[in-house]
Amino acid sequence: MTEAVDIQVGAAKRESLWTEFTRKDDWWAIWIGLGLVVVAAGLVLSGSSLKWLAVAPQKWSHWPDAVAQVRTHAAQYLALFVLWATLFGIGVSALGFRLSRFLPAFAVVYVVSLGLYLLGQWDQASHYNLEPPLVALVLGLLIANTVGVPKWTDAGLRVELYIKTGIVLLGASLPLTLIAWAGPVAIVQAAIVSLVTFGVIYFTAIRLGLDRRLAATLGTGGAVCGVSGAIATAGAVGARKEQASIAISLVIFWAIVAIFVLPLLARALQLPTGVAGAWIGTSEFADAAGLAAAQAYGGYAGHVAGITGSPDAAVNAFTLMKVIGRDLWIGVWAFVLSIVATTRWQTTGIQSKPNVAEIWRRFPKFVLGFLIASAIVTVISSGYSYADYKKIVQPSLVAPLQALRVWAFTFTFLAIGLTTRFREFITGGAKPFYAFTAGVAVNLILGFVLSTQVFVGFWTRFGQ
Amino acid sequence: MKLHAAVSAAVVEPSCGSCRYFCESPHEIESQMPGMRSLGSGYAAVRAADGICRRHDRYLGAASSCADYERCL
Repeated sequence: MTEAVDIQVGAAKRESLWTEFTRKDDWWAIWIGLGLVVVAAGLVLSGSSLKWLAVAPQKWSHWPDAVAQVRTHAAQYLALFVLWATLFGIGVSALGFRLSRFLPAFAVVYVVSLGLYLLGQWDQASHYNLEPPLVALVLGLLIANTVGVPKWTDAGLRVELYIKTGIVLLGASLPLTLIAWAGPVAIVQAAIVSLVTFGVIYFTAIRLGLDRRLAATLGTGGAVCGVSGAIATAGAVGARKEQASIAISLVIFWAIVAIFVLPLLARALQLPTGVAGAWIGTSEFADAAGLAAAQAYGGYAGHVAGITGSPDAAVNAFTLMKVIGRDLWIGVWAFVLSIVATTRWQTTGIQSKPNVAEIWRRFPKFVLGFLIASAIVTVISSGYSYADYKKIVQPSLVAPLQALRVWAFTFTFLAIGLTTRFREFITGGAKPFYAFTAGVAVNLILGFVLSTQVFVGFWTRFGQ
Repeated sequence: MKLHAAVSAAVVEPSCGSCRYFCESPHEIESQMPGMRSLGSGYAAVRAADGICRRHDRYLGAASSCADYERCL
């Protein structure tokens, strides 16, 4: 009898582990992103490279040149489509979507992304503010909120799968030593802003007479990691479904506003790319939205007078601030709030037992892929002299992975626009809006002061 | 049959995760929470095994429980 129970429990646990590995997009981002890093590393170690497959548009001045470029590399673009369609196709199939719906939707996403990537390489793109992330977003928003997007395309518009895969690939261009050096500063800065922003939203909401569960869900949505923060807290404290939806809507609304406002403000102030990236990482509400803003700003480096720093520094600083400084701690926030909810707040008739294991269960696992990718490339690079690194590792390993990362991010930015339908938003009245907006204002100002005054020297050096 | 019933009773605890009112389907959650797909995901690890309780209209953890529990058949 005991043996029979053990067998069944064991089977359930195995099934649970298998489900975790195959039914969560965090894990698929790891399989796909790390798989590409491992293959790319293997090819370099054997004297080859992923370069041919990781094709990317080059700078161009006249439209016929751009067309000629695509024609010349048509076979590579087709092969890259097959690669992405296969990898993401396997992932979305495992998540339960039909491949027959994913493929046509993804084909459209890929072709439009190629156009956007190409547009970004136009030598006049910065002059006309045609940064690919912003153009992708505007295009997607226009389509989704006017003519609309058919429901069947859902399978090809997996924002989180694309962005998490892109972040894992980003790990390959960030040395582990840099993460170890800048990580603690990012954690301190993000912790200050997260705690203050949460406090402002939570206590403003309580002051306005809102339910504590809604207040906490809004607070973590604004202070920690956007929709993911809101949904994790809503589940941990047992919020009403409508309360979770209100928080999600407010996060998306302000995140999209910030995508356009933050790069414009930073550009007007001529902030160095590292500083702007840190500010965006502190003050944006969602990973995908923040990466759109940071990548757009990075595109100004070298093209807009007065903006110093390397183009990648904005995305790198953003990622450290957002992923290491904020996302990593979502499980802790959810766990602490679940204890407060069960011990201090009004009962709902539903019993919950806070469990410390929740911290791991809610851990954004794709961060592991980001760190492992960084470790792999760091270890490989350590075997080369600086001259050989520049000659071999950078062009044969890091550059192709960077190109693949830009592709993944471009899919993301387009998918954000195409999946954001403003008419579906649930605002829940003025009070949640006021509470959340109070947090947005404090977050923006505090993030700005910390990035441009308190830690300005650090983030400026980081960007060089 | 008795052994099977005993095993099932021992394994399935009366918590939301095994309740007929509990919906953990990521697809369904994305449909019921507008905007979730835009900058989030029903398939994200941060969601753990949370789901929607159709009885109480709440979004909660699978380990929660209440007096209205009805085992999922």
